[in-house]
Amino acid sequence: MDKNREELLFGFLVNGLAPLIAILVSFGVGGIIISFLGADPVAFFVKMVDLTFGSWRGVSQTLYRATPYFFTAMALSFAFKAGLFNIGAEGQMFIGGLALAWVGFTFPGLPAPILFPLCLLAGFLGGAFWGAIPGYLKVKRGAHEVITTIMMNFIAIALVQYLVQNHFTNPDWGIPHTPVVGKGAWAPSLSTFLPFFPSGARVNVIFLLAVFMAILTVVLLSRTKLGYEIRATGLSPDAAEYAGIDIANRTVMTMAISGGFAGLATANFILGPGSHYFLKSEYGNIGFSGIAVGLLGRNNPLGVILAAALFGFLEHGGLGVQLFFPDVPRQIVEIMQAVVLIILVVVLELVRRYVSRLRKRGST
Amino acid sequence: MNEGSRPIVEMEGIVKNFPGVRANDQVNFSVEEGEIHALVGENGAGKTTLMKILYGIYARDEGEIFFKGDRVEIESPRQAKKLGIGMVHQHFMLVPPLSVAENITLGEEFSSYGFLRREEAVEEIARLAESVGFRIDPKEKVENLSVGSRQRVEILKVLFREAELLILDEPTAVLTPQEVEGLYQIMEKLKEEGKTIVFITHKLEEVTAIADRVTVMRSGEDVGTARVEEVDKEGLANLMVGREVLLRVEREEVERGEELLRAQGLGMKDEEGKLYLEDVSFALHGGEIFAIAGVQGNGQTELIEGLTGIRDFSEGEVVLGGERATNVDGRELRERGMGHIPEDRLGRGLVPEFTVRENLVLGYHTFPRYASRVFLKGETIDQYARAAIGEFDVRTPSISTQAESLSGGNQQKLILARELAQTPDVLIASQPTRGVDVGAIEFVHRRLMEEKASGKGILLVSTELDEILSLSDRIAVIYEGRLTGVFPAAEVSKEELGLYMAGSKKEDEEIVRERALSPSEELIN
Repeated sequence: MDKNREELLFGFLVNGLAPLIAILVSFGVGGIIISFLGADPVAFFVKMVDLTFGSWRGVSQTLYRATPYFFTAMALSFAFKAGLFNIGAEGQMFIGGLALAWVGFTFPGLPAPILFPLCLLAGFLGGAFWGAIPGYLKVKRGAHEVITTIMMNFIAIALVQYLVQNHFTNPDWGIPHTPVVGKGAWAPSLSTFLPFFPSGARVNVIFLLAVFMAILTVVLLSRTKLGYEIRATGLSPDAAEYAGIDIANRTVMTMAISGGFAGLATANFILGPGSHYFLKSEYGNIGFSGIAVGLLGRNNPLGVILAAALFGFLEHGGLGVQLFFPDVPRQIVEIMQAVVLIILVVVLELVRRYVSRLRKRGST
Repeated sequence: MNEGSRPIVEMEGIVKNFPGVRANDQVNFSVEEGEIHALVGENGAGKTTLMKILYGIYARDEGEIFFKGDRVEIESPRQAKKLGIGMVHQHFMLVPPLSVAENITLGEEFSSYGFLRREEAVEEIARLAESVGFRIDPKEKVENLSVGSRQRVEILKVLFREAELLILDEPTAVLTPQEVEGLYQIMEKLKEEGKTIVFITHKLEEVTAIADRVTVMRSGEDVGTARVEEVDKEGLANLMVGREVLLRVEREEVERGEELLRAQGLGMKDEEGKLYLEDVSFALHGGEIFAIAGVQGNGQTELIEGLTGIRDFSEGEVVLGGERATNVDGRELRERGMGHIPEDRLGRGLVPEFTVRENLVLGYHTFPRYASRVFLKGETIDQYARAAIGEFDVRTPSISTQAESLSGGNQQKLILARELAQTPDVLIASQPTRGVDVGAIEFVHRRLMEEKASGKGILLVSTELDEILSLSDRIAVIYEGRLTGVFPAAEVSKEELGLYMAGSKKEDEEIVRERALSPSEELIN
């Protein structure tokens, strides 16, 4: 019994405490820099919190910013469960996003109950296709997925750029973007159902989709045959092979699902309140930041939601707080994002060492 | 002590508590200078804990340690080494890409002005190796060495640091029978050199083969120390387990049933054309245990992996229950009634991070009994898991405990429970008792015998000849990928098998095939 309790405590220390410490330290580092810049760090952070969580409008904006990070982070975390490192969320996000927008502007006349889910499906499948390729290459050719997913990012970026500039351009103004998606695909704002959000709040149904998918993922991994096989493959390929699990198939499928998550990352922007078209420059780095969010969320779907919320907080709070602290450049937020990640890696290792030393001294 | 030889180490009243368990409870342990002292007990009896206290890895809660008569505090391995105590761990601590000499001198390199003096190190290590009769090239990279040689490097590492007392933690667990012989010689040689050796084991034959004295531990207590001449294996086993233990299971004669598994001319090559198996044929019938004996690395692993769907044969045919089963995947084989206890328990047989209940359906998780089209049947699995750990006496805090935290014996019982719970017709058991303690060995043997009695066919692969001789009905020897002899177990001696295993004797191919394919009754007549 003790062993189980200890197991739980260990899990809590590593998965809960370490990210918390990392976040606190990054605030500390951010605070020091802010005070060097001549501003009051306490006032700065209080203002940030006020802007993000101080009003329903702020909450709405924060969650809106957080939503895409959730999807790209899940891409990393899901693959991780099968022992795969998917660094290709950026590329999968672009391919999925363009597929999603394409369905939306190609069939603009379809009614909402058909067009909206169809767009999401296209986004998922687009990302899944782009994610499955490295999975297939790994299985057939032994190409390591870290290398191939990174390469596939460049291909995706160039491909999307080419397609949007040459084939799907809406020529109304400067930066090339696609035509607007049909009205049926527009995701309603949450204020439609939740009256405490101010009308026109940007947080929209896609956020609910994210929460739903997090729960779905937990169920998939813990309750289904497929989840069991994915975890067995990730934890011990030899044992999975012994158990008659088709590792090649599971690897490709995991990469596809992982890519599918990333493929939905831009749905928040394209379908949610806003421009309603695909604008590549608006989504830069969300895929890469997802790696940080996934790590911070300890690859646990619910943890990933919290971590994404933190990134949403930093992003929205960071933007707004500039108006009040003109001396502090907005890059302070990016510094804090980076610090969180670096500290997390260090703290995780320290906590792990500390706990394993405790266990060594204390038990067999 | 009664003969007046001086104790080199005395541990008195050692107590060590871990959360929830008392690993050592008032243990007294004394080793005389220049002896080989066996420390035996079941897994979890506290042997390794006691030695780790002596080596400074664990801090004791109570008790005193005397080294050569002086009371000492050993708070770290560094201090232990300074006193002249060295430990060879069960899992080697070597850097594979570095050479033997580099590994041995690691941390105490020969150098001047920051530059390594490699030649000097190599010479010194060569001299040291020669002094204890090792044949080893100090310049060879450790990654190219066999397990037995790596162990010698570990021993040299300890000797290089001028240890007088060597602690060997289950040194034979990873060795082949030949390598074990080699280790015995090394231990004898070290004893001649005046070194003292404590070795931890749970194999009783090792105690009688090499030790001068033996101390038995059970559930954290020392239950006695004796000269080896004064004890027998049965007595030791009973002391270790605390009850009567049957070291040999009575072989039951069971009527031969129909043919369940047939291998016909099996061959296996890898992509580079390396041959693992050639023309292997045999038939397994219901109610019999057919054993394959051989020195590790002669193709038995490949044969088993081929039969169980992990690898493909390049030639030949497998017939399971009358139907073709060549190169069929593991899932289908399980559905068709083949159970498999793999030789690599933690590597293949279990997902170490999975819980006990998850591991109990590994490979069977797609069976309609445990899963619907999409979902696992959580409650059914829970019930089955509780029943299985009860029936197979798997000692675990709960069914949600991770398999990796169980002892080796319990992990093995877990696998046995899983494979037998599905009532397979054919059970392929590879090294079913490797590294498990006496109590668990008895249990595994008894269960295998029961399965046979109920009409199952069991293919047993083991490197333990005693196990093979006591359990099986027919024995085939595998040497360099071929079966070189087939015998009724009652008509062959250990020595005879040894000759075939070493490749110095061989029967005619035709005779081997004929005997391997026919049930034993006909053979005896």
